[in-house]
Amino acid sequence: MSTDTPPLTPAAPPRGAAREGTAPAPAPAPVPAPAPQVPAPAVTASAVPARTPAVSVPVVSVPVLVEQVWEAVIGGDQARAAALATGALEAGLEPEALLLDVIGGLQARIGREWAADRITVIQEHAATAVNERVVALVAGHPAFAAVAARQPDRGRVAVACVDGEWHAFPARLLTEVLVLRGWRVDHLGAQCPTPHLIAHLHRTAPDALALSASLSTRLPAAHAAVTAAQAAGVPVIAGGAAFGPDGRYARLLGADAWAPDARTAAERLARGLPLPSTPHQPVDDLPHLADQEYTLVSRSSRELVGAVMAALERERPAVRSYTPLQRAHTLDDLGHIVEHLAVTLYTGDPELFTAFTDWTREVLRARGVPDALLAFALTVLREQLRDLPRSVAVLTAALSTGDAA
Amino acid sequence: MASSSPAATTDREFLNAAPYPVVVLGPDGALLHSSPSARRLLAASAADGVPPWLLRAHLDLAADGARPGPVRHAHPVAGPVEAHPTPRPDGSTVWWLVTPEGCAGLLPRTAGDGACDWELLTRLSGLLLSSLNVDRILETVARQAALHLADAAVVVAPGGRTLRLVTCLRDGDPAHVQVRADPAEVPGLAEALQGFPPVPSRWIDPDAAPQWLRPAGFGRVGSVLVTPLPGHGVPAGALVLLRAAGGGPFATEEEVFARLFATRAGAAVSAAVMYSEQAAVTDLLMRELLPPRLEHLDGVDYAGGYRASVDRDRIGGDFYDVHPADQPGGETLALLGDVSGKGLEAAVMTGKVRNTLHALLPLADDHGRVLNLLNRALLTSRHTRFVSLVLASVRREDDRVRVRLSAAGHPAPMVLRADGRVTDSTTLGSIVGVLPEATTCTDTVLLDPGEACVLYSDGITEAKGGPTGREQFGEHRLRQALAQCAGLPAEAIVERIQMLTAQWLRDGRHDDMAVMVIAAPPHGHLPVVTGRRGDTA
Amino acid sequence: MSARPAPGPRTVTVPVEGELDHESCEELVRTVTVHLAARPPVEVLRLDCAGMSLCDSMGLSALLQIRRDVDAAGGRLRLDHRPAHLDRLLHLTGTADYLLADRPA
Repeated sequence: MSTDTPPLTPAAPPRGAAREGTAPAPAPAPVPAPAPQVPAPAVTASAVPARTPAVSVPVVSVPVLVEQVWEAVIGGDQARAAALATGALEAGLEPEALLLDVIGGLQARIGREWAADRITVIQEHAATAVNERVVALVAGHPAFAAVAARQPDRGRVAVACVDGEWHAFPARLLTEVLVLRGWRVDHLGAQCPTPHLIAHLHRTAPDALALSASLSTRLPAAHAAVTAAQAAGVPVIAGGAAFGPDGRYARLLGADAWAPDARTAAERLARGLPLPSTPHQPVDDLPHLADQEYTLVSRSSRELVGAVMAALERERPAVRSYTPLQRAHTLDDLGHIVEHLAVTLYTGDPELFTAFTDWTREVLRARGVPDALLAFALTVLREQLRDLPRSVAVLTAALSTGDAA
Repeated sequence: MASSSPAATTDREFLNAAPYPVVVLGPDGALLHSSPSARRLLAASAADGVPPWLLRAHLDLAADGARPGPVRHAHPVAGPVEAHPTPRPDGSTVWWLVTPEGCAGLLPRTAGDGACDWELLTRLSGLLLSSLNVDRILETVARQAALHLADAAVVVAPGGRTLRLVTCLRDGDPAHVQVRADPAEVPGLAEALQGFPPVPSRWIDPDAAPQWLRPAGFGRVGSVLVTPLPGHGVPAGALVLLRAAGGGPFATEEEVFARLFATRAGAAVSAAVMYSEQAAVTDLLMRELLPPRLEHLDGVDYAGGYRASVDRDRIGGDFYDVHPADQPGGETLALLGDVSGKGLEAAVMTGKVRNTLHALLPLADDHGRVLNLLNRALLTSRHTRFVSLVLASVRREDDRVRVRLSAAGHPAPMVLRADGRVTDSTTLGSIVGVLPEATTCTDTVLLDPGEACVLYSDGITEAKGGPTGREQFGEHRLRQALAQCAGLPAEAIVERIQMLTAQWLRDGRHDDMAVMVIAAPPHGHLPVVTGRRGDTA
Repeated sequence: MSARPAPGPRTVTVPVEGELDHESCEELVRTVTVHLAARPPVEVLRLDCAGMSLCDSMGLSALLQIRRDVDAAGGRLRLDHRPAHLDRLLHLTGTADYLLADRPA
């Protein structure tokens, strides 16, 4: 995760259950998120001359502003966060810079803080809620409407999160940026069921669909959305951490374009996406699905989780003495591991699983959980899946990087 | 010869079922047998008997004596034909006539590059079927017709006095044009728009084509072909193909192909028209039934979340509303409920319930009376569908928020305290719409800053999933989840509950799920004034 | 769901097995309708709820419909061997008095 705050690739934490104690943590985001302490180095063109007359607020630098808003957001002080944001707008900060460099930067930082166990998942929810309110406030500010009104009409875009995706915030930022740049945007929001999305595309025939996904476990759903949108004649630009830091999974799933952040996405959309030519089926992109390993593993995920849990309780006395809550969390975590294994089999890229286990190991260390527990779970899983060659290879690779670490 | 013997006749009957046309020729080239498909194929070129090319190949074969190979022939209608000979011991030869699959010996061809048009038609059909958006399909029709059938194409959509046209030059981009013109100015167009068969191209004087029919940048018209787009019972418009001067007239095969293309295009346009009309109606009705956006109102935070049981729908049997007080300092009426059943039928009843409650707002002081009047309005002998709901009359009093809660056959709301304690309100009452009387007992709750009251439908607690996939989410998990949400903004609590239930369900089947949070704003609160843009959903 | 004619010609017991929800409730109502239409008329209709694992709002709606139908036919309805979850549901929805009353109110 780079420090220049890619708003389409949030480092928002996995919205799993609150962690406590020894339970291995889930980590749906595959991208390792080291936790640099410094705030995002802000764009130097921090302020432009005020367009609204007679504003005497001193021009703020973005890094200072980021720090101030961070204090307010993490303290749940909505009023102060709002005052800082509107103050910056009235001092002449471009709305886009405020949205992407300040608020988007904060959102990425919230994710890093969570991974390093410096804030709880509940604080993360609260901070996100404050951020969302600030975005709504910014979008309702006259300075915002003034910028949007100056743009030529660029066309119509639908912005949606993949079915099952809860990180609506990056998509929300993209929506506002596109509005600022003169697009008519249909914001379909989080958790958009694919049938509903497709019905919308047929009805409105937008120039493009911007599809956001941050959880790599949603890649199969993203694939379904991409192919369905293309079949409906709408080109797709993909964004978000799920598609990989270099967009490799966007290419793999046949998306027409990929962007690492909202600015790039807006620029790519401005150049225009060609209409998708020949409709394709998911299996056309991923011939390895023919071996059915993905289907087998995802269909039996509950049984696999049960088997690993049973083994943990048999072999590890510490796990035997878990409280019901710790046990529930561990089951959640095992579920995440199996989900990531399944999606790795779907994409055919073992690195996806290795990145996930590396990330999980980091998160666990931050919470004082021994590495051995994760390794044990992976070993049991490999034994369970010994008849599936691709699964065995993926698990073996993950175990060996764990040894090296 | 053998053809007269019954045994031999029977022997050849089986050839009729062969997947390809097949003929049997005697050593001298006499036709001993032909399958029905072969007769159709050969009749298209030779009036009777064996066509010269096949006879020649057959006689060469007999003279040669070498291992026979296939003979290729370009059939004027069917396209390429490969004739594979199989010599028989009695001196006769079976000729298998292999034509491109599915062509059944009657393939139209264009004058173009000679590729099998069946493939082109299949590809074009795929493009036409991919969208359900009328404009998109009209553009596809114009673009593909201009690319493959003519130098330019104009699709005329049926309509009133204004003609809607989509024009496209070969290799160009389609343009939408509206003209006030009489289609009768183009010979055959008015008829085509009514679904009458096309007028042969040679009957149309290209110079008679009016200016409005010519796409911008198109020079003199050499020939014109007008073809109707037949829809599902209703004409879906007409396709006008233009060829530039000097390009020669449209050949008969081209007219046939244009008609085949137009049939598919018309079906696609017609399906899209029906879909968009239906979608527009659904959208309109749906808009009334969608849950409202909740926000800060008179010093109180409201947030709501809804997930319909059928993911395709956005509506279902659960609902919530917040009605502001009609005077300053009055009570806001918030409500959340659940109609038995799911899907559209349940959604329609939620509309009735919500409208009735809206009309009863002036009586909202008296929850019991509101519920009884609603009960009377819904009671019918036709069915036993009912509604369960919670009424919440909310008023800010200084820092605190007073909430009067009345449940009617609905789970009692939970109250989340600042210290993370979660308690149940004590309200209890009967369902509405099926019993002779509706009864309830009201409970009053006071919320300090940062505290919240959570209304939910049983879809949340009855969500089945978890590690086993069969366990209900249950009240205790909801209570646990809420206990961790102390002090959170209302939207964050809603989001948290929705997320936890979604994770619990994974991909499991679920009922409609609704949750609404009424919260006393914490200190340092930011009221957001919304209503920007068309955020009506 | 099959009916067991109980001793005494005018009592019918219908067992309710598994989940009584939107998928199964129509069949139950139909079964009851058939019994109510029988001659001689059924006097007491017993729903044996021992095997009922769940009752959702559509299930409750079906029970209310059955109550109406039985009342209209002049019969009596009994809900036998009610599991705890069903009693909880009847309590929460305020339908216990109506459904369990011996005669129409």
